[in-house]
Amino acid sequence: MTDLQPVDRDAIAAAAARLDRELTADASREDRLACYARLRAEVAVDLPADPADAFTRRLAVEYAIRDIERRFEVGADSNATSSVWDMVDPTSPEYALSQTPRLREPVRRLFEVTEREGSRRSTGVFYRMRVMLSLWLRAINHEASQDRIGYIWLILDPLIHVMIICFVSLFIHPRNIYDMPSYPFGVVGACFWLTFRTAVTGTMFGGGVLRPQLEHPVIRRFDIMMARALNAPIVYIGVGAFLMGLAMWLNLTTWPVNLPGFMACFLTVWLMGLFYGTLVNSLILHYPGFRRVNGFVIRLIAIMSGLFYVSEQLPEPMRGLMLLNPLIHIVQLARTCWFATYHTRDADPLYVLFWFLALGLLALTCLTLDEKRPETVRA
Amino acid sequence: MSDLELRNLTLNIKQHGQVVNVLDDVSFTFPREHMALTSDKRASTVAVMDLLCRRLVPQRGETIYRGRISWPIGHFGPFSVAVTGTQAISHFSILYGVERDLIVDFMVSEFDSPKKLNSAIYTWPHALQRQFMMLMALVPSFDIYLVDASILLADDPVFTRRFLEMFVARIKDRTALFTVRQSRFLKAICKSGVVIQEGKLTYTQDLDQLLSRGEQFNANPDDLPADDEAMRQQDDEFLL
Repeated sequence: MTDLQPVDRDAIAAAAARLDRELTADASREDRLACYARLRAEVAVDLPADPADAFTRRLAVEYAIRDIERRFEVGADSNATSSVWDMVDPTSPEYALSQTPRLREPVRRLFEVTEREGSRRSTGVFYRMRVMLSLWLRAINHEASQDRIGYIWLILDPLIHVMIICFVSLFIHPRNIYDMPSYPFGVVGACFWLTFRTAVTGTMFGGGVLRPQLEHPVIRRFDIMMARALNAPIVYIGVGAFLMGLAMWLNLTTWPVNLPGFMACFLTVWLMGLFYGTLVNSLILHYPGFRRVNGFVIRLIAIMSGLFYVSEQLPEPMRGLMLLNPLIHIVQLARTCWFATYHTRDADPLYVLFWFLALGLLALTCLTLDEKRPETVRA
Repeated sequence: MSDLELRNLTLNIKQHGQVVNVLDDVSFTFPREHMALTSDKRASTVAVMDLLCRRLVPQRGETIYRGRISWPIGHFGPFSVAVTGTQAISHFSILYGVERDLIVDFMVSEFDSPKKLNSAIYTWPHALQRQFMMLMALVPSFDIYLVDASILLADDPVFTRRFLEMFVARIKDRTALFTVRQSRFLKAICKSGVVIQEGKLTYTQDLDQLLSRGEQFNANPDDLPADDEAMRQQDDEFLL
C-alpha cells in the first residue's frame, strides 16, 4: 500500500478538483449526492484492468468525496450556534426563548388553525369511523412491512384459507349439500367462520401492535380493538365477493335471494367475534394461560359452526348438541338468504339475538371494568 | 382559569407484579403556566403523564379537561415506524383534524429531508426520526402540552434553534408540563413545578429544589419494570 501512496494522492487531488468545479459553496445535500454518484459511475466505467489499480482509483474518489464533505460540514458548523445551552441563557445573544419567532409562511398558516377548528373537525360518529379506519391502515401497514410482498399476502393468505375449506367441502360432497352446490356452500361457511375467527384474534390481544397508539389522547382502548377486528369484514367481504362472483360466472349459484338479510348475518357474525374476543381479552388479563384454553374452544366452535354440513342432515342427539352453537344458526340463516333451494328449519333468529345481546353486554362490562385495572407503565 | 383539574383521583399502577399507589384521593388544579413535573420515582412521573394523556384510567375520581391535551411529546409510541412519513401525516391529520396539505407544506418547509417522507420511518436515521416526532408535536394546537423529551438537541443546534422558536410560540399562554430532563432548559422556561410524593401532588415555586430532585433521579435510574410491549406484539401474531 505504501508504494501506491503518491499515485493515490494525485488521483485524490484530481477527483477533488473535479468535485470543486461542479459543486457550488451552497450546494444542497441532494445535489452533492447526485454529483458524487455521477463521479463514481464515471470512474466505474473506465477502470484499469489491474484490480489493484482499479481499487486505488475508486479509493481515491472516496477520499476526495470525504474531503469535500468535510468542507461542507465545517461550513454548516460555522453558521450554527456554538452551543444549544446558549439558546436558553438569557445573557447570551443566542437566547431563543423570548425572541419573536420569524415563522415561515407554511408554519404561520399551520399555526393560524385554531384549536376550535381542530376540535370541530374531530368530533362525531364519522370522525370515530375515520379514526378506526386510519388505525386499521396503521396495523395493515405494520403487518405488510414485515415482508417484501406483504400486501399481496394480506389478500392471498385469506383467499387460500377459504379455498382450502371449499376443497374439503367439495371432497366430502362433490356436487350438492342439501340442495346447495358444494362450492358456494363452502365459500359461505368458510367466509363466515373466518370472519368470526379473525375478529376474535384481532380483539383478544387488546389491540396488539396498535397498543402504543393509546398514547394519543383521542384514542380509546375500544378503538384499537375495533380497528384490529375491522380486518375481518374488510378482507372477507372482498374474498367472499370474488369467490361467489366466480361461482356465479361458473353458473354454480345465482344472485342471493335476500342480500340485506345475508349482509345482516355477516355483520352479526363479525360483531359476535368482536364481543367474544373482548371477553377473551378480559379473561387473558386475569389469567394469561387462558389463551391456550381459548385455542381449544375456538376449534370446538369451528367444528360446530356448520362449515361442511347443515344441522338438518344430522341425527337427533348430535343435532341438538350442534345447535347449541349460535354460529351454526347464523351460518344457516345466511345460506337461506343466499340460496333459493334451501330454507333452514333449525336456525332460530331469537336464539341468535339472545347470544348476541348476552355476549355484547358481557363484553361491554369487561371493557369498562378492565379499563380501571392497574397497568404497567413503560419508559 | 385552569385547563386541567384532578378531582378525588386515585391512581394505581403495577410494578414488579405489585400494585403501587401513585395518587391517593388527589384533588389538584393545574394553573395555566409552564411547570416541571417530578417525583422520587420515574414510574410515578410516567404514570401521571399517562393518566393525563388518557392512556391510564384512574381507579377512582376524574380528570377534567377544558381544552385539548397533547400526547406525551418525546414518546415514540404514537409513531408507528413501519409506515412512511406521509402515511403518518395522514393519520395525524385525521386524529387531530388538521388539513393534510397544511402539514405536508409545514414538513417540506421545516423537515431536514422532505424527500424521505415517502419512505418508511424505520429506514431513516435516528436523528431524522426524532426531528419528525418533534415537528409533528407542533402540528395540532393543544391547550395542554405534556413534554417528556429533551428539547435541546446538542448534536443538532440548527434544528434546535428553529424548533425552540416555533415551540415557544406554540405553548405561549398554554398549560405545559415538562418532566425533568434538561434542568437549564426547564429553569428558563418553567415558572413552577409539581411534585408527586406519597400519593399527593404538591405545587411549588421553588424550582431549584425541584430540579435538584429530578437530577438525583436522572443520575440514578430507574425503577421501571420490564416492558411487556414486545411480548404483546408477539401475542398479536399468535394464530389459532
